[in-house]
Amino acid sequence: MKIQYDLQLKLRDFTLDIQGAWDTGTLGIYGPSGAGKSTFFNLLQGLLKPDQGLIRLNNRELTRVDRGIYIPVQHRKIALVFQNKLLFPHMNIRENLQFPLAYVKSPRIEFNEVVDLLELSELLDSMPQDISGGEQQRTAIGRALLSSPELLLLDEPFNGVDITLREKILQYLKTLSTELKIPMMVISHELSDLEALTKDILYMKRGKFLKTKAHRFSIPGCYPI
Amino acid sequence: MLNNQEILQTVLLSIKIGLLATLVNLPLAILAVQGLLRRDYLGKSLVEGVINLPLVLPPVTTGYLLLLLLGKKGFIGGWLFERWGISIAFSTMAAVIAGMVVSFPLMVRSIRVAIEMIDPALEKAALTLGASKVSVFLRITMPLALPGILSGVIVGFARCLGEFGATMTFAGNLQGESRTIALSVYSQLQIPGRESQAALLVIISIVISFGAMITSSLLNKALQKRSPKNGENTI
Repeated sequence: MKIQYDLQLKLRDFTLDIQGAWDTGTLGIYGPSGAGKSTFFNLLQGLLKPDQGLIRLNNRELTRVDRGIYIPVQHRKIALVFQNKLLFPHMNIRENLQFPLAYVKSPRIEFNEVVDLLELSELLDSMPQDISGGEQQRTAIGRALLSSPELLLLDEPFNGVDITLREKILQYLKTLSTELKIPMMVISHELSDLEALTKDILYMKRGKFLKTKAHRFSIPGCYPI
Repeated sequence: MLNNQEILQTVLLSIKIGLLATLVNLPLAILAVQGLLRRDYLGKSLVEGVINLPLVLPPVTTGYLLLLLLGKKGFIGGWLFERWGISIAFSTMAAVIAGMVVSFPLMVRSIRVAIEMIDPALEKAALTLGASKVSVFLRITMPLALPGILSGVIVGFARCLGEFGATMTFAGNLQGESRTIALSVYSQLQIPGRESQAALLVIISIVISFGAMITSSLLNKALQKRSPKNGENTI
């Protein structure tokens, strides 16, 4: 699946202007803390509104300030796996996973498929606070997948996990990309994490996407240094 | 001298007034909290002030203001009486309204604290999964705020049960109509030799209040077993 994007955004201290496409399944976004990576995700997801600009994904205008277009978060078909997982504490793992099913008209992925793929079957009756960080991460990814998104955003999925768990999460993400064919954008401040996942990596600094000598991008239209 | 039937009537009337006032207040208090927390608008501080006014006003003053507003010659009450023949003051309905007004700010405070403690990111997460704002409210906000809402209900009910000044002024002290336990205790104490009757009503009042608090505590424990304190899910 080829993902096309056309993003021209301007917040007070934050500008974005990228156009392009990637078809390798996963796009990595690398940058130091405070570069604007999470802000970028929030803009894409619709959790933040830009002062001006345009966000277009797969030829669908999600936000267009000059025409007053703003697709609400819940209708964007973009799932976001937050840095701190944000599982619902009053629901068990099964209920957390089933949460989005009520809002999906024609699910692209079956509940059992996700449970098997992410090895969650033994956790279904557990409460989120009773399982490990890695298991919470898998649940959060599974829950996002069950919302049948057109794009899956993962915000620092490797944050605070040890090497063993990192390997496992990498494996899960690769499986998602190859088996389920769901396009993903992954944010990380560790370049090696992203390099293990994809060759398409954007470098972000002070709210802008940059080209660096160290990495070749398959995505045209990035800001030159 | 109060007979057993009158005592029973007083107790049941108090519970009825307390329950009615609390049940009507509950959705209004939740809406008020949503209005105070989720939106910024001109005059928000004024709305907050009006909601909290009964907390600082002497209850008799609150009752008098209700009389000016809803009495037969009041702004709204006058119109209701002339147009529809409805008379609110000095009735059970007036006692319910008096109870609602004085307990409303306490319920709002309790529910507000409970909703403020919910991590807003959980609600955002639910939105990103396709839930509408109404669904998020019903499936995330309400269940997580339930212990606080329950506390608000108990506090509101207890406040209604103990209400005196506003009820006396706006609803009167009419046996079978508006004479709640608090008003009945007062009435008995006005007549020499009726201290034992007043003491009996006081004991009943304590039992009801304790019963409500114990029920609230048990329900809270059951709910906390089901859902942990907010924030425990974050790593």
